[in-house]
Amino acid sequence: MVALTRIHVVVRLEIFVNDPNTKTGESPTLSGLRLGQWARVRAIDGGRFMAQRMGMLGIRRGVDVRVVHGPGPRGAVVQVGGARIALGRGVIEQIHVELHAALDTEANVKGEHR
Amino acid sequence: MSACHGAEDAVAATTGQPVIAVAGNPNCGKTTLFNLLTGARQHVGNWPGVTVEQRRGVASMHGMKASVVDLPGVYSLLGGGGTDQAVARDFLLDGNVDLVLNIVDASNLERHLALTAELLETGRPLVLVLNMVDEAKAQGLEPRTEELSKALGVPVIPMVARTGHGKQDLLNAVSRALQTPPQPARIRYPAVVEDALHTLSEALGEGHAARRRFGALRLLEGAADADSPAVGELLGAVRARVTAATDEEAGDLLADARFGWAHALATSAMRRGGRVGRRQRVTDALDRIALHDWLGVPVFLLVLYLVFVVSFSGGNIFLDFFDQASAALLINGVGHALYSVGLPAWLVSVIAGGLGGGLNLVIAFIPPIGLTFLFLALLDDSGYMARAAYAMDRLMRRLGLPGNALVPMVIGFGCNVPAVMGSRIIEDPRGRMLTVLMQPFMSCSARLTIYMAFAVVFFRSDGGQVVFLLYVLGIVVALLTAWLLGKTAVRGEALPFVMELPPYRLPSVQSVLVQSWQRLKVFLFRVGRVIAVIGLVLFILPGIGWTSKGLQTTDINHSLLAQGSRALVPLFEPMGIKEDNWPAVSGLIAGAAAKEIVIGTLNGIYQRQNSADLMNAYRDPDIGAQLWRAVKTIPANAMTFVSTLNDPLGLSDLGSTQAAEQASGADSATLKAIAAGFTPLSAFAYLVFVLLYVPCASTMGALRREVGWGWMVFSMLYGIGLGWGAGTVIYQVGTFAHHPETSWLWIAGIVAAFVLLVVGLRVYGSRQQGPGGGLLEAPS
Repeated sequence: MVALTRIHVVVRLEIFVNDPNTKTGESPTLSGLRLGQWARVRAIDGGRFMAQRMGMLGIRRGVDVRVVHGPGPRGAVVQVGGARIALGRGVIEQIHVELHAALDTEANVKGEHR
Repeated sequence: MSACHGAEDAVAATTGQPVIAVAGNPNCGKTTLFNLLTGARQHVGNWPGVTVEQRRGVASMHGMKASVVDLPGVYSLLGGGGTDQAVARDFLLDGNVDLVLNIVDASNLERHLALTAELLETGRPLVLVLNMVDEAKAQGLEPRTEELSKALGVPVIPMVARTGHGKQDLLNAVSRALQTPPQPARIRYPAVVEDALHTLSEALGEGHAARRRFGALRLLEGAADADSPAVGELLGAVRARVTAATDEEAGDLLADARFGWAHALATSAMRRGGRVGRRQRVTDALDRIALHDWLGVPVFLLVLYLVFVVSFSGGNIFLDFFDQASAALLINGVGHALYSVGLPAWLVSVIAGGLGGGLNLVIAFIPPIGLTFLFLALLDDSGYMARAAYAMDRLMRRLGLPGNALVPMVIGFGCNVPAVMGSRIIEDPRGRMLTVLMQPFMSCSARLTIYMAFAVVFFRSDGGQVVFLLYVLGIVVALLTAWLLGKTAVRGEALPFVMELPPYRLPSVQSVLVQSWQRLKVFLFRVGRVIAVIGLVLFILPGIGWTSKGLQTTDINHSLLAQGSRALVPLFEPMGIKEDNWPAVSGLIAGAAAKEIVIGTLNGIYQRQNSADLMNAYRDPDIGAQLWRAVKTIPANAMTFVSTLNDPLGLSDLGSTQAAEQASGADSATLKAIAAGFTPLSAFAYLVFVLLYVPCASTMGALRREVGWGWMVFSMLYGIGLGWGAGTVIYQVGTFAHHPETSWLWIAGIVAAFVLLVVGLRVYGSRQQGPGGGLLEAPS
C-alpha cells in the first residue's frame, strides 16, 4: 500500500504542514503524531550510530511512515514499507518528521485512518 | 526455546565442497530454507534473532554436494546490530563463500533489497530467493520475477520456504550458478563518488578488487575507520572533493543511491493488484491488545500462565497412565522376565530398578513436558514473542534492561545454553552482559522434570500453579538480579527499544509438531540417557562403603555416598532437609553438573533403598492388572481436569490436608520416597534452591564464553548463595512458630549477608567507573 501511495505522491503537489502541537520552526518528532497519521522522515538525531540503527530497519530520511500503534509512554509502532517496527519512547523523540498532508488525506479517503 | 544444548551441534563442513552462504535480514526464513536444503531440523521461530551463530549442513543437488552455511540475520554489511549480526557480516565479507543465497521477504522487498545492494557490491556470485510470495500475494502484491532477475543480473527464485514450494527450481538454479557463476549487476553511483571509491580502493592494498571496493565503500560511509594515517588522510581528501562537487556528504550520496535503487527496483518488481487491508486490520486489532499500555504486561503473564498451567493440568490426564504403564512394563515386566530366566537378584535389581526405574521417570513426564514444548512452539510461530518484548520494554527499562532481553529469557524456558547465546541480539555490551547473567535463573526443561516430580507428590491438584509460581520466581529473581547489578557493578542506561515486529501467522500444524517433537526428542534421549545412566551408577555406588575393615560392600545407609552426603546435610538443614533424607543432598551435588541428574540420583538411591520390596514385585508382577489400572486413570484424571477448570488458581485446594495430597498419584517407588523425605514446605524450599543454584556445567561454559571467567564464577557463587538464602528463608518463615529464635537468627543472617553483597557490588561498580570506564571487564 505504501508503494501505491508513493506512486500517487510523485504526481501530486506535495504539501507539507507543520504539526500544530509544536512551536513554529521546530520540526515535530514521531512522538507528536497521532495514531494512523502518515509522515515523512526528515532527520534523525543521535549521530551516526542512531542513523545506522534506524537505517537498517528502513527508517531514514525521505521515507514515509505511518503510526500503527501509540504513540504512548512506551513508544510507538510504525509501518515502514511492509514491516512494522516497534520503537521505544527514547527513539521516537529523536526522529523528526513532516506531516504529509497528501498521504494522510489519501489514507483517510481509503478508510485506513483511525 | 531450543531444547537442551542440542541446537549447538552443527554438521562439520566437508572440505572440497562448494560453500553456499544463506544470507538475509533477520526473520526472513533463512533457517527454514537451510532446513529445507539440508534436511536439518534447526530451530526456527517467527521473531528476529532466532539464529545467533553460523551452522553448517550438506545439500545434494543433481548428484553434487555442497556445504550450506546458515547465518544469523543481518540488516547491513556496513555495521549495526548485536554480535550475532557481526558473525554474519564477517563471514559474508571475508569467509570462504562460493555462492550467496540471498533470501528476501517478498512482502517487504524494498528494505530487504537494501542488503542485496550491499551483497552485490561484494562481487560474490548470488542467487536471490524471493521468499514468502504467499504473504506478498495476500497483501495484493504480485512479483515480476523475470524483471527482477534481469535488473539484478542474477537468478531470482520465488518460494514459500515454509511449505517447500519452489525448492526444485532453487536446486536447479543453485547447481547452475555453481557451475557458471552469475555476473551480478552493480549499483551506479554519481561519477564523483565512483572516482572517490576508485581512488580509495586503489589505496587499500589487500584483497581482490571487489573486496577492496567494499572496503572503500565502508570507509566512505563512515562504517569503518582507516587502518593507516595515509589512508585516513586520503579519505579526508576524497570526502572533501565529493562535498565540494555536490554539496552533499559522500556517505549520504552512497546511501541515497543504494536506497533509491532498492526503492525503484521494489516498485517495479511488485505489481500491485487485488484488495488489501484485511490482514492489516487483523494485525491492528491483535496489536491493540498485545501492545496495550496497561494490558500488555498482564496479557504476557496470562499467556505464560496458560502455557504452564494448561501443560501441567492437561498433561496430568495422561501422567498416571504413562507412569503406571511404563512402570508395569519396564520395571515389573522386565524384572519378572529377568527373574524368570534365572538371573541373580542383584542383576535383576540393577537392570529393572536402576535402568527401568530411570526410564519410567522420564516417560512419566512426557505428557506435561511435551505439552509445554507444544505451547512454546505455538508461541514461537505466532509472532507474539516480539510483541511481548515491546510490551515488557517499559518495565524492563525501569530495571535498566532493554525490552528485547525478554527474548533470550523465553528461550531459557527450553534451555539456558541457547538463552545465554541468544543474548547476542542485544546491541549494547552492558545490556548484553546483564541479560547473560539473568539466564541461569530461567526454569529450563531439565528443572521442569524436578518440579513435576515434586508437584505430583506434594501439590498434585494445584501443581500447575506451583510450577507457574517457580517460573515466575525465576523471572523475578532474574529481573531483580539485572536491576541490582545495573545499579551497582554494571552501571549505565539501557539503549532505547528498537525491534521489528514480525507478521502474525497462524502457526502451521506441521511446523509446531516438528518443533515440539524436536525438543521432546532431545529431552527424551539426552535427558533420558543421563537419568537412566546416573540411575544405574547410583544404584551400584551406594553399595560400597568405608567400614572399620576398609572399603567394602555394605548396605546403602553406610555407603560412601551416604557418608559423604550426610556430612553435607547440616548445610541444608536450615532449609528443611533432615539427616535421613541425605539422598536429596546427593541429588543437588550431582545436579550442579546437569539438572537432569537430580531426579536420576534420587531414583537410583530410592529404588535401591526399596529393592527388597521390588524383588517381591518381580516374582509376581500381574502386569495385566497394572496396565488396566493405568488405563483407568485417564478418564478419572480427565474428570479432575474438567472439574478444576473453574478454579484456575487452585484456591479450593488450599484447605486440603497434606495427607490427602501425598496419597494421590505418587505410585513409583521414587515418588513415594520423595513423599516420605519431605514436607510440602521443605519440598518447596528444595525446589527454590534447585531453581536458583548453578543451572548446569554447559550453561556455565556458555556464560564463560560470553562474559568471561570472572563473571562466570560470580554467577555461580551468587546463584548458590541466593538459592540457599531463599530456600532457608522460605523454610524458616514457614516453620517460624516452632522455633522463633533460631528462625530470626537465620533470616537476619541472610539479610545481613545480602546487604554485604550489595555494598561489595557498589564498591566494585564505583572502582570500575574511574577514568576509562572499563565497566564491562570481568572482575578479576
